[in-house]
Amino acid sequence: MYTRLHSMPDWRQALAGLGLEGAPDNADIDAAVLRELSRGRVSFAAADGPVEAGFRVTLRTESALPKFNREKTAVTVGGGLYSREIESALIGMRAGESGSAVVKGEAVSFTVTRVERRVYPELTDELARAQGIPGVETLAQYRAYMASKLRGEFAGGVSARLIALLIAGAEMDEPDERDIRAVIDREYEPLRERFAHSGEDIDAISDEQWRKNFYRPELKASYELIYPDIAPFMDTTSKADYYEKRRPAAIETIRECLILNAVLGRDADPTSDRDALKALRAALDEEICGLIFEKGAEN
Amino acid sequence: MAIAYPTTKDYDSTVAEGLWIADFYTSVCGPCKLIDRIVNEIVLENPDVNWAKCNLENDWDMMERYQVQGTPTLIFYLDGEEKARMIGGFHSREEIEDVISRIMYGE
Repeated sequence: MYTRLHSMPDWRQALAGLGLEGAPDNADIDAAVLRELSRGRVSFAAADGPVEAGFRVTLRTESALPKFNREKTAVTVGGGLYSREIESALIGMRAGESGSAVVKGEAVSFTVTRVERRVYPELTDELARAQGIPGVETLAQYRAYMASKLRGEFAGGVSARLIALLIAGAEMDEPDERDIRAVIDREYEPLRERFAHSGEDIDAISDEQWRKNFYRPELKASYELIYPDIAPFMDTTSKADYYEKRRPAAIETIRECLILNAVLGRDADPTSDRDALKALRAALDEEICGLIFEKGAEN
Repeated sequence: MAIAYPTTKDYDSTVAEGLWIADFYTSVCGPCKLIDRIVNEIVLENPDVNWAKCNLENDWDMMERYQVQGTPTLIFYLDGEEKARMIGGFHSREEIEDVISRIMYGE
Protein backbone atom coordinates (compact mmCIF):
# COMPACT_ATOMS: atom_id res chain seq x y z
CA MET A 1 0.00 0.00 0.00
CA TYR A 2 1.09 3.53 -0.69
CA THR A 3 -0.95 5.06 2.14
CA ARG A 4 0.87 5.31 5.46
CA LEU A 5 -0.18 5.48 9.11
CA HIS A 6 1.98 7.86 11.15
CA SER A 7 0.57 7.54 14.66
CA MET A 8 -2.51 6.47 16.57
CA PRO A 9 -3.73 6.48 20.20
CA ASP A 10 -2.68 3.66 22.53
CA TRP A 11 -5.30 1.05 21.72
CA ARG A 12 -5.26 -0.66 25.11
CA GLN A 13 -5.94 2.64 26.83
CA ALA A 14 -8.69 3.39 24.32
CA LEU A 15 -10.24 -0.01 25.00
CA ALA A 16 -10.10 0.53 28.77
CA GLY A 17 -11.92 3.84 28.30
CA LEU A 18 -14.78 2.36 26.31
CA GLY A 19 -16.67 0.84 29.23
CA LEU A 20 -18.06 -2.64 28.98
CA GLU A 21 -21.65 -2.20 30.13
CA GLY A 22 -23.89 -4.90 28.76
CA ALA A 23 -21.21 -7.58 28.53
CA PRO A 24 -23.05 -10.91 28.73
CA ASP A 25 -22.70 -12.47 32.17
CA ASN A 26 -23.67 -15.93 33.40
CA ALA A 27 -27.29 -14.86 33.96
CA ASP A 28 -27.52 -13.62 30.33
CA ILE A 29 -26.05 -16.88 29.07
CA ASP A 30 -28.44 -18.98 31.18
CA ALA A 31 -31.41 -16.90 29.97
CA ALA A 32 -30.38 -17.36 26.33
CA VAL A 33 -29.95 -21.13 26.82
CA LEU A 34 -33.39 -21.38 28.44
CA ARG A 35 -35.03 -19.26 25.73
CA GLU A 36 -33.53 -21.19 22.84
CA LEU A 37 -33.88 -24.71 24.22
CA SER A 38 -37.46 -24.22 25.41
CA ARG A 39 -38.64 -22.78 22.10
CA GLY A 40 -41.90 -24.47 21.19
CA ARG A 41 -42.09 -26.22 24.56
CA VAL A 42 -43.38 -23.48 26.89
CA SER A 43 -46.65 -24.10 28.72
CA PHE A 44 -48.61 -22.11 31.34
CA ALA A 45 -49.71 -22.82 34.92
CA ALA A 46 -51.71 -20.80 37.46
CA ALA A 47 -49.59 -18.18 39.26
CA ASP A 48 -50.05 -16.91 42.80
CA GLY A 49 -47.91 -13.80 42.48
CA PRO A 50 -48.35 -10.59 40.52
CA VAL A 51 -48.24 -10.35 36.74
CA GLU A 52 -44.79 -10.21 35.14
CA ALA A 53 -43.77 -9.78 31.53
CA GLY A 54 -44.31 -13.05 29.68
CA PHE A 55 -47.23 -14.17 31.87
CA ARG A 56 -50.60 -15.04 30.37
CA VAL A 57 -53.48 -13.04 31.82
CA THR A 58 -57.20 -13.55 31.29
CA LEU A 59 -59.22 -10.33 31.35
CA ARG A 60 -62.76 -9.02 31.36
CA THR A 61 -62.78 -5.69 29.54
CA GLU A 62 -65.19 -2.81 29.02
CA SER A 63 -64.76 -0.05 26.47
CA ALA A 64 -66.42 1.75 23.57
CA LEU A 65 -63.85 -0.03 21.39
CA PRO A 66 -65.25 -3.46 20.37
CA LYS A 67 -61.81 -5.08 20.63
CA PHE A 68 -61.70 -4.14 24.33
CA ASN A 69 -65.29 -4.88 25.21
CA ARG A 70 -65.17 -8.60 25.90
CA GLU A 71 -66.19 -10.96 28.66
CA LYS A 72 -63.00 -12.98 28.30
CA THR A 73 -59.68 -12.34 26.54
CA ALA A 74 -56.38 -14.16 27.10
CA VAL A 75 -53.31 -11.98 26.65
CA THR A 76 -49.59 -12.71 26.74
CA VAL A 77 -48.20 -9.72 28.61
CA GLY A 78 -45.28 -7.90 27.05
CA GLY A 79 -45.53 -9.28 23.53
CA GLY A 80 -47.46 -6.21 22.39
CA LEU A 81 -49.92 -8.09 20.22
CA TYR A 82 -52.95 -7.06 22.30
CA SER A 83 -52.30 -3.49 23.45
CA ARG A 84 -49.01 -2.09 24.71
CA GLU A 85 -50.92 0.33 27.00
CA ILE A 86 -52.99 -2.38 28.68
CA GLU A 87 -50.15 -4.90 28.84
CA SER A 88 -47.99 -2.30 30.55
CA ALA A 89 -50.78 -1.51 33.06
CA LEU A 90 -51.16 -5.22 33.86
CA ILE A 91 -47.62 -5.61 35.20
CA GLY A 92 -47.80 -6.11 38.98
CA MET A 93 -51.55 -6.82 39.13
CA ARG A 94 -53.11 -9.93 40.66
CA ALA A 95 -56.21 -11.98 39.87
CA GLY A 96 -59.35 -10.12 41.00
CA GLU A 97 -57.83 -6.64 40.65
CA SER A 98 -59.17 -4.02 38.25
CA GLY A 99 -57.44 -1.29 36.28
CA SER A 100 -57.82 1.07 33.38
CA ALA A 101 -55.89 2.42 30.43
CA VAL A 102 -56.42 4.75 27.49
CA VAL A 103 -56.11 3.18 24.05
CA LYS A 104 -56.49 5.26 20.89
CA GLY A 105 -58.07 8.00 23.00
CA GLU A 106 -60.74 5.69 24.47
CA ALA A 107 -60.93 4.53 28.09
CA VAL A 108 -60.61 0.80 28.67
CA SER A 109 -61.39 -0.69 32.07
CA PHE A 110 -60.45 -4.25 32.83
CA THR A 111 -60.52 -6.89 35.56
CA VAL A 112 -57.89 -9.62 35.83
CA THR A 113 -59.68 -12.95 36.18
CA ARG A 114 -56.73 -15.34 35.87
CA VAL A 115 -52.92 -15.12 35.97
CA GLU A 116 -50.67 -17.83 34.58
CA ARG A 117 -46.89 -18.03 34.56
CA ARG A 118 -44.72 -19.68 31.96
CA VAL A 119 -43.56 -23.20 32.66
CA TYR A 120 -40.35 -24.16 30.92
CA PRO A 121 -39.31 -27.71 30.14
CA GLU A 122 -36.48 -29.38 32.00
CA LEU A 123 -33.31 -28.70 30.04
CA THR A 124 -31.60 -31.92 29.06
CA ASP A 125 -28.73 -33.17 26.92
CA GLU A 126 -31.35 -34.44 24.48
CA LEU A 127 -32.76 -30.95 23.98
CA ALA A 128 -29.26 -29.60 23.46
CA ARG A 129 -28.47 -32.33 20.92
CA ALA A 130 -31.72 -31.65 19.06
CA GLN A 131 -30.47 -28.17 18.11
CA GLY A 132 -28.27 -29.84 15.48
CA ILE A 133 -25.19 -27.76 16.25
CA PRO A 134 -21.98 -29.52 15.20
CA GLY A 135 -20.00 -30.74 18.23
CA VAL A 136 -22.85 -30.10 20.69
CA GLU A 137 -24.02 -33.30 22.38
CA THR A 138 -24.66 -32.16 25.95
CA LEU A 139 -26.28 -29.29 27.81
CA ALA A 140 -22.88 -28.15 29.06
CA GLN A 141 -21.58 -28.03 25.48
CA TYR A 142 -24.64 -26.07 24.40
CA ARG A 143 -24.06 -23.56 27.20
CA ALA A 144 -20.43 -23.19 26.14
CA TYR A 145 -21.59 -22.66 22.54
CA MET A 146 -24.08 -19.99 23.65
CA ALA A 147 -21.48 -18.29 25.87
CA SER A 148 -19.07 -18.14 22.96
CA LYS A 149 -21.77 -16.80 20.63
CA LEU A 150 -22.94 -14.03 22.98
CA ARG A 151 -19.42 -13.05 23.95
CA GLY A 152 -18.33 -12.99 20.31
CA GLU A 153 -21.25 -10.74 19.38
CA PHE A 154 -20.47 -8.39 22.25
CA ALA A 155 -16.75 -8.32 21.43
CA GLY A 156 -17.64 -7.52 17.81
CA GLY A 157 -19.51 -4.42 18.95
CA VAL A 158 -16.63 -3.34 21.19
CA SER A 159 -14.15 -3.85 18.33
CA ALA A 160 -16.21 -1.64 16.03
CA ARG A 161 -16.32 1.15 18.61
CA LEU A 162 -12.59 0.80 19.27
CA ILE A 163 -11.69 1.01 15.58
CA ALA A 164 -13.81 4.14 15.13
CA LEU A 165 -12.06 5.72 18.11
CA LEU A 166 -8.58 4.85 16.84
CA ILE A 167 -9.29 6.08 13.31
CA ALA A 168 -10.60 9.37 14.71
CA GLY A 169 -7.43 9.85 16.78
CA ALA A 170 -4.90 8.63 14.22
CA GLU A 171 -2.58 10.59 11.97
CA MET A 172 -2.38 9.03 8.53
CA ASP A 173 -2.07 9.99 4.86
CA GLU A 174 -5.16 10.71 2.87
CA PRO A 175 -5.73 7.34 1.14
CA ASP A 176 -3.68 7.18 -2.06
CA GLU A 177 -5.72 7.08 -5.29
CA ARG A 178 -3.82 3.96 -6.41
CA ASP A 179 -4.82 2.17 -3.21
CA ILE A 180 -8.46 3.24 -3.53
CA ARG A 181 -8.63 1.98 -7.12
CA ALA A 182 -6.96 -1.32 -6.18
CA VAL A 183 -9.33 -1.97 -3.27
CA ILE A 184 -12.36 -1.43 -5.51
CA ASP A 185 -10.76 -3.64 -8.19
CA ARG A 186 -10.41 -6.49 -5.68
CA GLU A 187 -14.06 -6.10 -4.64
CA TYR A 188 -15.12 -6.13 -8.28
CA GLU A 189 -13.21 -9.31 -9.17
CA PRO A 190 -15.82 -11.88 -8.03
CA LEU A 191 -18.42 -10.26 -10.26
CA ARG A 192 -16.08 -10.35 -13.24
CA GLU A 193 -15.36 -14.02 -12.49
CA ARG A 194 -19.05 -14.81 -12.17
CA PHE A 195 -19.78 -13.31 -15.57
CA ALA A 196 -16.73 -14.97 -17.14
CA HIS A 197 -17.96 -18.30 -15.82
CA SER A 198 -21.09 -17.95 -17.95
CA GLY A 199 -19.10 -16.80 -20.97
CA GLU A 200 -19.78 -13.07 -20.59
CA ASP A 201 -17.46 -10.11 -20.21
CA ILE A 202 -18.83 -7.72 -17.62
CA ASP A 203 -16.44 -5.01 -18.74
CA ALA A 204 -18.06 -5.10 -22.18
CA ILE A 205 -21.69 -4.71 -21.16
CA SER A 206 -23.46 -1.43 -21.83
CA ASP A 207 -24.67 0.93 -19.12
CA GLU A 208 -28.21 -0.07 -20.04
CA GLN A 209 -27.40 -3.76 -19.47
CA TRP A 210 -25.64 -2.91 -16.22
CA ARG A 211 -28.72 -1.04 -14.99
CA LYS A 212 -30.96 -3.91 -16.03
CA ASN A 213 -28.76 -6.45 -14.23
CA PHE A 214 -28.05 -4.65 -10.98
CA TYR A 215 -30.10 -1.50 -10.36
CA ARG A 216 -32.49 -2.32 -7.49
CA PRO A 217 -31.90 0.48 -4.97
CA GLU A 218 -35.09 -0.24 -3.04
CA LEU A 219 -33.79 -3.71 -2.16
CA LYS A 220 -30.21 -2.77 -1.29
CA ALA A 221 -30.67 -2.39 2.48
CA SER A 222 -32.26 -5.82 2.77
CA TYR A 223 -29.64 -7.50 0.59
CA GLU A 224 -26.83 -6.08 2.70
CA LEU A 225 -27.92 -8.53 5.40
CA ILE A 226 -28.09 -11.54 3.15
CA TYR A 227 -25.89 -11.03 0.09
CA PRO A 228 -23.29 -8.48 1.16
CA ASP A 229 -21.21 -9.17 -1.97
CA ILE A 230 -24.07 -8.23 -4.29
CA ALA A 231 -25.59 -5.34 -2.33
CA PRO A 232 -22.94 -2.74 -3.32
CA PHE A 233 -23.97 -3.06 -6.97
CA MET A 234 -27.66 -2.54 -6.36
CA ASP A 235 -27.75 1.25 -6.44
CA THR A 236 -25.35 1.68 -9.36
CA THR A 237 -26.25 2.50 -12.95
CA SER A 238 -22.90 1.76 -14.66
CA LYS A 239 -19.41 0.51 -13.95
CA ALA A 240 -18.16 4.10 -13.64
CA ASP A 241 -20.99 4.86 -11.20
CA TYR A 242 -20.06 1.73 -9.24
CA TYR A 243 -16.42 2.81 -8.88
CA GLU A 244 -17.49 6.30 -7.80
CA LYS A 245 -20.00 5.05 -5.24
CA ARG A 246 -17.53 2.55 -3.75
CA ARG A 247 -14.86 5.19 -3.07
CA PRO A 248 -16.02 6.03 0.49
CA ALA A 249 -16.09 2.35 1.46
CA ALA A 250 -12.66 1.76 -0.09
CA ILE A 251 -11.23 4.71 1.83
CA GLU A 252 -12.65 3.32 5.06
CA THR A 253 -11.21 -0.11 4.26
CA ILE A 254 -7.74 1.35 3.79
CA ARG A 255 -7.92 3.35 7.01
CA GLU A 256 -9.28 0.44 9.00
CA CYS A 257 -6.65 -1.98 7.68
CA LEU A 258 -3.85 0.42 8.59
CA ILE A 259 -5.20 0.70 12.13
CA LEU A 260 -5.82 -3.03 12.53
CA ASN A 261 -2.38 -3.92 11.18
CA ALA A 262 -0.85 -1.62 13.80
CA VAL A 263 -2.99 -3.03 16.64
CA LEU A 264 -2.36 -6.65 15.70
CA GLY A 265 1.21 -6.29 14.46
CA ARG A 266 0.30 -7.55 10.98
CA ASP A 267 0.88 -6.49 7.41
CA ALA A 268 -2.37 -7.38 5.64
CA ASP A 269 -2.92 -5.56 2.35
CA PRO A 270 -6.47 -4.91 1.07
CA THR A 271 -5.11 -3.77 -2.30
CA SER A 272 -3.96 -7.30 -3.06
CA ASP A 273 -6.24 -9.40 -0.80
CA ARG A 274 -9.97 -8.70 -0.82
CA ASP A 275 -10.43 -10.66 2.42
CA ALA A 276 -7.75 -8.73 4.29
CA LEU A 277 -10.15 -6.54 6.26
CA LYS A 278 -12.42 -9.45 7.11
CA ALA A 279 -9.49 -11.47 8.47
CA LEU A 280 -8.16 -8.52 10.46
CA ARG A 281 -11.57 -7.82 11.99
CA ALA A 282 -11.95 -11.47 13.01
CA ALA A 283 -8.51 -11.42 14.61
CA LEU A 284 -9.32 -8.24 16.54
CA ASP A 285 -12.67 -9.66 17.70
CA GLU A 286 -10.86 -12.72 19.02
CA GLU A 287 -8.24 -10.58 20.76
CA ILE A 288 -10.89 -8.35 22.36
CA CYS A 289 -13.01 -11.33 23.38
CA GLY A 290 -10.00 -12.84 25.16
CA LEU A 291 -9.18 -9.59 26.92
CA ILE A 292 -12.75 -8.94 28.11
CA PHE A 293 -13.70 -12.44 29.16
CA GLU A 294 -10.43 -14.15 30.06
CA LYS A 295 -11.09 -13.81 33.80
CA GLY A 296 -14.56 -15.27 33.96
CA ALA A 297 -14.30 -17.59 31.00
CA GLU A 298 -16.33 -20.73 31.66
CA ASN A 299 -18.20 -21.09 34.90
CA MET B 1 -46.17 -22.12 21.03
CA ALA B 2 -45.22 -24.87 18.66
CA ILE B 3 -42.94 -25.07 15.69
CA ALA B 4 -43.79 -27.64 13.04
CA TYR B 5 -42.33 -28.63 9.69
CA PRO B 6 -45.40 -29.93 7.83
CA THR B 7 -45.77 -31.31 4.33
CA THR B 8 -49.02 -31.73 2.36
CA LYS B 9 -49.68 -34.92 4.37
CA ASP B 10 -50.01 -33.24 7.75
CA TYR B 11 -50.39 -29.55 6.89
CA ASP B 12 -54.15 -29.28 7.50
CA SER B 13 -54.02 -31.10 10.82
CA THR B 14 -51.05 -29.02 11.91
CA VAL B 15 -52.82 -25.68 11.49
CA ALA B 16 -56.22 -26.97 12.68
CA GLU B 17 -56.09 -25.60 16.21
CA GLY B 18 -54.98 -22.20 17.49
CA LEU B 19 -53.20 -19.41 15.67
CA TRP B 20 -50.65 -20.54 13.12
CA ILE B 21 -48.34 -18.74 10.75
CA ALA B 22 -47.53 -20.98 7.79
CA ASP B 23 -44.25 -19.73 6.36
CA PHE B 24 -43.52 -20.90 2.81
CA TYR B 25 -39.86 -20.50 1.88
CA THR B 26 -36.91 -21.98 0.06
CA SER B 27 -33.32 -22.19 1.26
CA VAL B 28 -32.05 -20.06 -1.65
CA CYS B 29 -34.54 -17.22 -1.10
CA GLY B 30 -32.82 -14.21 0.48
CA PRO B 31 -35.93 -12.26 1.54
CA CYS B 32 -37.23 -15.44 3.23
CA LYS B 33 -34.37 -15.12 5.71
CA LEU B 34 -35.54 -11.63 6.65
CA ILE B 35 -39.05 -12.86 7.34
CA ASP B 36 -37.70 -15.90 9.20
CA ARG B 37 -35.83 -13.62 11.59
CA ILE B 38 -38.92 -11.52 12.33
CA VAL B 39 -41.30 -14.45 12.79
CA ASN B 40 -38.76 -16.13 15.06
CA GLU B 41 -38.76 -13.09 17.37
CA ILE B 42 -42.55 -12.91 17.41
CA VAL B 43 -43.10 -16.57 18.29
CA LEU B 44 -40.41 -16.46 21.00
CA GLU B 45 -42.27 -13.64 22.75
CA ASN B 46 -45.80 -14.90 22.12
CA PRO B 47 -46.38 -18.53 23.02
CA ASP B 48 -49.90 -18.43 21.57
CA VAL B 49 -48.47 -17.93 18.10
CA ASN B 50 -47.46 -21.16 16.36
CA TRP B 51 -45.14 -21.44 13.38
CA ALA B 52 -45.41 -23.94 10.53
CA LYS B 53 -42.20 -23.77 8.52
CA CYS B 54 -42.89 -25.06 5.02
CA ASN B 55 -39.76 -25.62 2.96
CA LEU B 56 -41.06 -25.89 -0.60
CA GLU B 57 -37.92 -27.73 -1.66
CA ASN B 58 -39.11 -30.63 0.48
CA ASP B 59 -42.59 -30.68 -1.02
CA TRP B 60 -43.30 -28.62 -4.13
CA ASP B 61 -46.92 -29.86 -4.15
CA MET B 62 -47.65 -27.46 -1.30
CA MET B 63 -47.13 -24.57 -3.69
CA GLU B 64 -50.11 -25.46 -5.88
CA ARG B 65 -52.27 -26.82 -3.12
CA TYR B 66 -52.05 -23.68 -1.00
CA GLN B 67 -51.80 -21.30 -3.96
CA VAL B 68 -48.39 -19.99 -3.02
CA GLN B 69 -47.30 -17.69 -5.83
CA GLY B 70 -43.88 -16.71 -4.55
CA THR B 71 -41.56 -16.88 -1.57
CA PRO B 72 -41.74 -15.92 1.12
CA THR B 73 -45.48 -16.25 1.69
CA LEU B 74 -47.05 -16.15 5.13
CA ILE B 75 -50.53 -17.58 5.58
CA PHE B 76 -52.24 -16.89 8.91
CA TYR B 77 -54.71 -19.42 10.26
CA LEU B 78 -57.04 -19.37 13.24
CA ASP B 79 -58.38 -22.83 14.10
CA GLY B 80 -57.69 -24.04 10.58
CA GLU B 81 -59.34 -21.15 8.76
CA GLU B 82 -57.16 -18.89 6.60
CA LYS B 83 -57.47 -15.34 7.92
CA ALA B 84 -54.77 -13.41 6.09
CA ARG B 85 -51.87 -13.75 3.68
CA MET B 86 -48.68 -11.73 3.23
CA ILE B 87 -46.44 -12.14 0.21
CA GLY B 88 -42.84 -10.95 -0.08
CA GLY B 89 -39.98 -10.49 2.33
CA PHE B 90 -40.04 -6.79 3.00
CA HIS B 91 -42.62 -6.51 5.76
CA SER B 92 -41.78 -4.95 9.10
CA ARG B 93 -42.29 -6.69 12.42
CA GLU B 94 -45.05 -4.18 13.20
CA GLU B 95 -46.95 -5.06 10.02
CA ILE B 96 -46.86 -8.75 10.85
CA GLU B 97 -47.84 -8.11 14.48
CA ASP B 98 -50.79 -5.99 13.33
CA VAL B 99 -52.11 -8.88 11.27
CA ILE B 100 -51.73 -11.32 14.17
CA SER B 101 -53.33 -8.89 16.60
CA ARG B 102 -56.36 -8.37 14.35
CA ILE B 103 -56.81 -12.12 13.98
CA MET B 104 -56.45 -12.83 17.70
CA TYR B 105 -58.32 -9.89 19.15
CA GLY B 106 -60.31 -8.26 16.33
CA GLU B 107 -60.17 -4.64 15.13
